[in-house]
Parts: sequence; structure tokens; C-alpha cells
Amino acid sequence: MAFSTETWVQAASFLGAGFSVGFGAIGAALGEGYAAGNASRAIGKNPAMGGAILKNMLIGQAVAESAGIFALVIAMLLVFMDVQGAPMIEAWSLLASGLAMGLSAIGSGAGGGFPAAEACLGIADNPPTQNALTTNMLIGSAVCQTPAIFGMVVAFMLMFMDWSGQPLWPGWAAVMGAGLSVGLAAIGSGVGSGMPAGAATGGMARQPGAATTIRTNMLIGSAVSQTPAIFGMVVAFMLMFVDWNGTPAWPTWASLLGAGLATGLSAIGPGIGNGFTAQEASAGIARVPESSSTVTTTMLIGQTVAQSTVIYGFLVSLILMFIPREASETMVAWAAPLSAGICMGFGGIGPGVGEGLAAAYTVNRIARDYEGVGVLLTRVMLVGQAVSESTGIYALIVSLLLLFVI
Amino acid sequence: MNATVSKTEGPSNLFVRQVITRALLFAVGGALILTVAGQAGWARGLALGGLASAANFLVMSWLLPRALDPAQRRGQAFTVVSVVVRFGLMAVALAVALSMPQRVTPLAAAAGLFTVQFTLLSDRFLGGRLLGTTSESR
Amino acid sequence: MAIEGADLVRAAALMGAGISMGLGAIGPGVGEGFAAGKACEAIGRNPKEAGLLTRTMLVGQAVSESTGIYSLVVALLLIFVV
Repeated sequence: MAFSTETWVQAASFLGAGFSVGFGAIGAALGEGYAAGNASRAIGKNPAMGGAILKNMLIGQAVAESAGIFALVIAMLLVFMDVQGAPMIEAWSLLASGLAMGLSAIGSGAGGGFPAAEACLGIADNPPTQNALTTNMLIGSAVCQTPAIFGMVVAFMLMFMDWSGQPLWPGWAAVMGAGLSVGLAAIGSGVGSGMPAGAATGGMARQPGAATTIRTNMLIGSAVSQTPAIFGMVVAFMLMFVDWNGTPAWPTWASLLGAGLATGLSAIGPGIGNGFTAQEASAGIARVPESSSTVTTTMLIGQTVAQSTVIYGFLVSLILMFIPREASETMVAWAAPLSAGICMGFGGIGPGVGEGLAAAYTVNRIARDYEGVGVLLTRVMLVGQAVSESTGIYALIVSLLLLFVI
Repeated sequence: MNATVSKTEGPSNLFVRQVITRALLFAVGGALILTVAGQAGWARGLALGGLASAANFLVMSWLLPRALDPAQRRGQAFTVVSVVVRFGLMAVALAVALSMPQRVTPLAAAAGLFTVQFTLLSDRFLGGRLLGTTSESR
Repeated sequence: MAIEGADLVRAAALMGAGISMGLGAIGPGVGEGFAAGKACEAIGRNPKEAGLLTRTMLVGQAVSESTGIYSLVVALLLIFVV
């Protein structure tokens, strides 16, 4: 079954386009559906504000959809890509491009639904605040689209950079790793940026006077939640820009693919976990605005600790990419690095979410009693987070064993 | 209460019309400026994208009340239908641009697809007349 | 490329080790974090009971850790013993 290179590249571009717009549409539908459901509830609570609520929902959905539109653009570019004379590696880069954009659009699309939903509910509860709520919803939704922009940047680079200089093996793994790294990492960060935007908007409806304080915290929390996606993008850049010509083809492909998976997967957990923390921080500050500095500090501490597993993933990725392996045709030679990447990748998800939850409940409690128990609770939170970290450390140990002892 | 929700019309037609008019103004205005600057391909692309963006917003406002169905499943199903239909619409616009790249610059069309988002954001941060004061809540 | 039987088995064992530890870390990670969060919430409501609540949290986390340890043991077995 010998197809020409051009056929493969064309097929890959169509497949990539399918992934891109398919995942992008899923993200947009998730976010918009969530907003619509809550708008229904809001109208049920306050039918008189029906018009304003629907107007607001329409605006929110239009902005939340942006990630989906990025994905559509990438998909169409892939469909119409001119594949004459493209090298085989281009097939992989086009497929990876579609994955990078599509996966990252899931997070941003879904995350954008949270602020829209909360804005609709807030308008029902407290109609005079509607302008403040709409503004905050716009800001929050827009910030939430940033991980999708990371994905789009990498997708563009994968589509348009000249890959003829890279060898097919392990080049194909480098581009796939790059696409998966940024795409997967952006899922967590997209959702994790939307959650605090939602809580902040809901909080503003309840406490309009504290709007600036709440928004500041929302922006800080969202920004930190996006860090895992940045790790993903950094690994993607490294995989794309390093010249893999000198390395032995056979085991290196597994290292590069593993490198992409290690950071990409392990970034999902901290992204979502940080989102929980920022969400509860925004909600807490909305309840008790005076607590904002204590709550923000604790939120930052909690978020930083929760990011440790993506740092482990990044470390494993660096080891996989830059410590050279000997050429070897055995199956063990490729199974070990690939397994190490998968291990650390999945292993980063659980502790990231768990530590984020721990910090979330803590800041929630601290907001209610910020002068009293702050220090005690922070200490207990750190202990609890450290214990949650343990399975992440086991995953790191197993990864390192697979990398160095085999 | 349920009957009220399923009979709710979309957000006021006035608002939708205002947004679309503003968006088309931006798109056409930008296109004119680009034509004068000698970039006819970009101008056509921007205009095409802006048109698609406005059409997308219009269709979204039509399909909106159906998505608010109190029955969760049907509401969600309708959201999916809405997304598919609208993305299909925008895909057609992009396909037109991509199939004749000499006459219509595709990247301009892609940029034009964000005209409505640009309109909404710029309005909010430069005066807020469009998105209404509290007295204009209907 | 003739794949040796022993080579295939070893490679499968290594993949299994990675998958075992990777997926096995998800559950305890989320569960222990949830326990820590709830403990902090309880301590916030009742600071005098901090010692008791912290101890309870640690016991609870240790129990949820068990499946994570099983995964680790299986992973190590697959790497070193099989």
C-alpha cells in the first residue's frame, strides 16, 4: 500500500483540520451551553430582567466563542494548504498543528462559559450592577482565551515553518510532541482561567462596592493559572527549534514524544487546581473585601505549591530532550523514555488538582476569618498539600528510574 | 414560569441591530481605508470576514431562545446545533477567501471574523453607549 | 526488524510500569487534596481542635495513599523484577 508523500500529507492536513475544528466546536458548545443553562435559571429567578439577561448572554457567548473561531481559521487553513512537494515530515506537523489548536480551544471555550453564566445570574439577583458585570465578564472571558492563543501561535508555526531541514525520524516525534505539549497544557489553563472569572463576576453582583479589589484578585489568580500553559508552550518551542539532525533516530523519537506528553499532560492538573484556588479566592474576597491581602497572599502560596507537578513534568521533558541516548534498535530503548513521559504526564494531574482544591477550601475559610486563623490554616494547608504531592513524587521517581536505571 | 421562558424572545432586536450596524461599519470602514492604502485584497478579506462575523452574531441571536429550553438535554442539543450551523457559515466565508487568495486575502478574512468581538470590547471600553445604561435594559 | 520475544516482553513491562504509576497517581492526588481542603475548612470553623483535625486529616490521607503505593509497588516490580 504505497501512497505518494503528497497523499499522506494531504490526508494528514484534513485530519488535523478535523481535530482542530472538532475540538474547537466542542469547547465552544460546552461553554455556551453552560452559559445558556444558567441564563435559563437566571430568567426563572427574575423574569422581568429577561431582556437584559439574554443580551448579556449573547455578548458573553460571542466572546467565549473566540477560541472556537481561532480553531476554525486554523482548520480552514489546513484544508486549503498547498501540499505540493512537501516532505513527509510535513504530514506530522500539519496533524500536530490541528491537535495543538483544537485541544487548546477546548479549555478556553469551556472556561469562557463560567463568567457568562455568573454574569447572567448576577443580573437576575442584582439588576443595577449589570454594566459592571458585563464589563467584568468581557475582561474575564477575554483573558480566558489566552491559552488558545498560545495554541494558535504554535499551530501557525507548525503549519508554516520549513521542516525540510529536520530529519523525518525523530523529527516527526518532535513536531507531534510540540503540538501535544501546548494543546494539552492549554486545556487545564483555559478552564482554570475561566473559573476565577466566573466567581469574580458572581461576587461583584453580591458586593458591587468591592469591584476593583475583586477584579484585581481575579486577574492575578487567572494569570497564575496560565503558567502551566506557558510551560507547555516553552517545551513546544524547544521541540520545534532544536536541530535534531545529529541524534540517533530510533530511541530519540520516543524521548521527544515523551517530552511533549510529560509537560502537556502534567500541566492539566495544576491548571485546573489553580483555577479552583483562584475561584474560591475571588468568591471569598467578594464576601469579605477587607480580607483581600491575606487571601491573595494565601492564594498565591497555594497556587505556587500546586504547580510543582508541572515543574516535575518540565524537568522530565528537559531530561528527555537534552540528555542524549545511544542508538539502539531494541524495543526497550524506546519503551523506557516513552513510558517515563507518560508516567510523569499522568502523574502530574492528580496532585495538581488535589493541591488546588486544598488551597481553595483554605482561602475560602481564611476570607471568613482573616485576622484569626490565617497562619494556622496556611500551615495546615501546606502540610496537606505536601502529603498530596506524594503520588506525584512517586511518579517522578518511576520516571527517573525509567530514564536512568534501565 | 416555564411557559415564560420558552416564549421569551431573543434579546431586544434593537440591541442586535445596533451591534451589527456598528460591526459592519467597522468592517466597511476598515476596508475603505485599506483600499485607499492600495491593499485591495486585504480590504475585500476584511469586508468578507466582517460580514460573516455579523451574520454569525445574527444567527446566534435567532437560535438563542431555543437554547434556553428548560429541559436540559434539549437546550444543550440546541447549543450544539447553533455552534455547528454558525461555524459552517463562517467556514464558507473562509473557504471563499482561501480558494481565491489573489483576490481576497485569507488572513484578512480571518481577522474580519472577529469584528463583532472587537465591536463589543471596544464599545465597553470606549464609552459604553451601545451596551446600554441601566435605563436601556430592554 | 526481527523483534526478540524477550525484548518485547521487557518493553511491555516498562510501558506498563509507566502507565501504572501515571494513572495510579491521579486518584490519591485528588482525594488527598480534597481531604486537606476539608480539614482546613473544619479547622477554620473550630481552631481549638486543630491538633485533632490535623491528625485526622493525615490518617485519612494515609489511607487514600494506599492505592498510590500499590501502583508504585507494581511499577517497581515491573521495572526490576519482571
